[in-house]
Amino acid sequence: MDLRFSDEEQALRAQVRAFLHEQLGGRFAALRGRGGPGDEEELFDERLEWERFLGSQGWNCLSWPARYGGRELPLMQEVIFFEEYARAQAPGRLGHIGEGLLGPTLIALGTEEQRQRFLPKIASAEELWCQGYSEPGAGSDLAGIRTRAERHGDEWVIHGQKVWTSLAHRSDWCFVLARSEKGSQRHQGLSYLLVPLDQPGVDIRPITQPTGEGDFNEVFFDGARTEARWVVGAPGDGWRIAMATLAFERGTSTLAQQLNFANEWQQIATAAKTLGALKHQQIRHRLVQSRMELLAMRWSTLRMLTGMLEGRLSPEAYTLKLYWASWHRRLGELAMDVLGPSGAVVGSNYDLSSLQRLFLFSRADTIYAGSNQIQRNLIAERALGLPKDPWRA
Amino acid sequence: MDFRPAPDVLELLALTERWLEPQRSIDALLEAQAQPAGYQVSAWNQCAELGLCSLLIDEAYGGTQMGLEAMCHLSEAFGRALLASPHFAHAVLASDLLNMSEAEALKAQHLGAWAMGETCATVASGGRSDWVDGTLSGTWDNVLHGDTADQIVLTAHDQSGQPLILLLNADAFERTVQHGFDQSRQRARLVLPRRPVDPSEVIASGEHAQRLVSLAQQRAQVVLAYEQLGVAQACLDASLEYAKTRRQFGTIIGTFQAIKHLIADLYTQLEAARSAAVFAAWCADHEPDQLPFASLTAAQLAGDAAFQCAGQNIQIHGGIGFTWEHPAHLYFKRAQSNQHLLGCSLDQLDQAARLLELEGGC
Repeated sequence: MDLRFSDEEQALRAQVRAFLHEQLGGRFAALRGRGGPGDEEELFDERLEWERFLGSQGWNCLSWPARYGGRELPLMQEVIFFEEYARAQAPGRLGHIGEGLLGPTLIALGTEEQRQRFLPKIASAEELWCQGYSEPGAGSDLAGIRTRAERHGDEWVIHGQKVWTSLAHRSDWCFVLARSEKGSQRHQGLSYLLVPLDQPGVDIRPITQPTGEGDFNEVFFDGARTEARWVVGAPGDGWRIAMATLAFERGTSTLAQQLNFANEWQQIATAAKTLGALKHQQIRHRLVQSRMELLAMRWSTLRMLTGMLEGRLSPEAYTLKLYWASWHRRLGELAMDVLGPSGAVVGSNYDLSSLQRLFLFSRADTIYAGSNQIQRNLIAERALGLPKDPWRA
Repeated sequence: MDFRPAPDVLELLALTERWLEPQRSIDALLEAQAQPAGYQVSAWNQCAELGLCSLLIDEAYGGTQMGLEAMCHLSEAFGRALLASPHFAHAVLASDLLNMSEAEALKAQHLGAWAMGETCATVASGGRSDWVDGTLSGTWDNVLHGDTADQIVLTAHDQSGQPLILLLNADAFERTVQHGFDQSRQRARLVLPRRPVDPSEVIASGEHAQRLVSLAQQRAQVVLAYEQLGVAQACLDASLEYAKTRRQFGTIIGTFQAIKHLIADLYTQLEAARSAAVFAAWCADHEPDQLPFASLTAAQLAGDAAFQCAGQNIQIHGGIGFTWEHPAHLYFKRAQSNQHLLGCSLDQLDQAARLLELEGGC
């Protein structure tokens, strides 16, 4: 067993650290620490400029083939890049849906024409993407979608509604899972369409969250159109493509996320000291337990990433989302218990402190990207081989 | 970065699994526990012959010096089989401590025999040392396999209350068997009649003793964490097997979400504990500065995982899981007992809080 990073990995880490230190200490200094939770609406133009700058310097889409704008770096190096990115407090990203979800889907399953048209502009951050999957009637049960797409000549015409669409109001394109075969049921007859958002048939409305803010939207398609050639995979084969997209979420931002978790933990520990909550053994023990679980999380991630590098899809990888989401939710609860009565007051316009915001946001962690209940079914069925629910197709 | 054990470790494990196979059945477990020693003496002799006692002893003293990571994997295999054996007390607690000390004469005298299992040792701690006119007496309870040991590594205190670690022959004590709540681990009460202490009996004293005890404790916690992983895995495997075969209400019970979700949670907890233990084992051999927190983390998470997996294994088995003849209770008792084997588990969280500088009060 050897748990050290390789020389190449350490070299990349040093290179990224130096680069970010220089840039965020110079021209982009105002962006340090910006664009995170509660701050997603701020400095959009400046952050987009930053991502375009990163693209111009070859720091976007690191694992992609070179001919599409990438550097063909191994997964672990990509993970290290994002960990250093978080460590440097570099600004919150805008292009991650294109880079992490749509891009790999096109590389694996798109046509060359689609790759040439869309991938370079994701890598350069010239175009931004959002994901059109969930609907009011189809959340955990994605196969229940009803947004429909009909071929009219050399176009698809789309009618329906998507929900929980992050960054839709800032995006240029959306990849939409729609029902393209009339009368088809569930996983059959779906198509995966690439749809431009700047058109009369698209209406985007923000959704407000319990934090009083929102990064979410409803997207209404009322006769929206896209060219016929912008279907990924065959018409009717959309479910397979949609599932492939989900599988491409490979954990590139896991270590970065954990670095932010560590910062949050420290913030809470400091607050506990300042507010006197540390006098309670229960608070001390919960802080310890939380910190221990975060350490376990890091090594679970590295085990999973190493397993993937060697081509093995490790069954324990299925447990990661359930673990971190539950952990984060407990952290939010601990934060509010540490605040005690002082957590009962907010600023004007429902301005929340960072710990109050953490408490509320973390209630969503166990819902999005596969709820805890769905995760447990996935773990039981796919990792452990237990039988499916009887009503599953 | 590579998480796989080295080839020589894998070889040792394969050998060990073959040796463990006939000892796994419920009949074998109960028979071992019913022995006067609390374990099968013949199995212990085989264990020694296979070289399984030598891993933490330096080559210079006749050991194989395979390192703590190797011992961890062995411990996990033993935990999965719920082996009744003085191995942990002898090859881990006593051997590791003496091997790391600077007591050259005692090391030369004993480590070679310990490596081969020719004599058997254990550690006695947590007792009360009583000094009168330079003579020591005391009582130590809960000494693992103290009734059958040949040598006792005694963690005591000197006349000024400073730590003092001695190596005494077991016959210096009056020994009484204490049967374990965990049926697979026999203990003993050791009473030391008043006697002088010879300098040749001292392994370490004062600050050196404190450091030695502390480091030995951390390393033992990591090895025990792996044993707990083995206990947890055996229970999870049993739960899965039962969930996939037991039929009620016209179907396999593993179809019910209540059962599926329970097992999913156990698996999630176990794998997180495994990750912590892997890192702790690495720290023991390579990153000493990070070992204190890592060992506490491994102990805490693996202990909780084992307890949950063992307890829920009974639950998932229903009534049959609550019988003497089913192994589930044996694992459950081992998991619970292990949580306090190296001191009260609640102290672990307090210790970790101090390491994280979370002191009580404003």
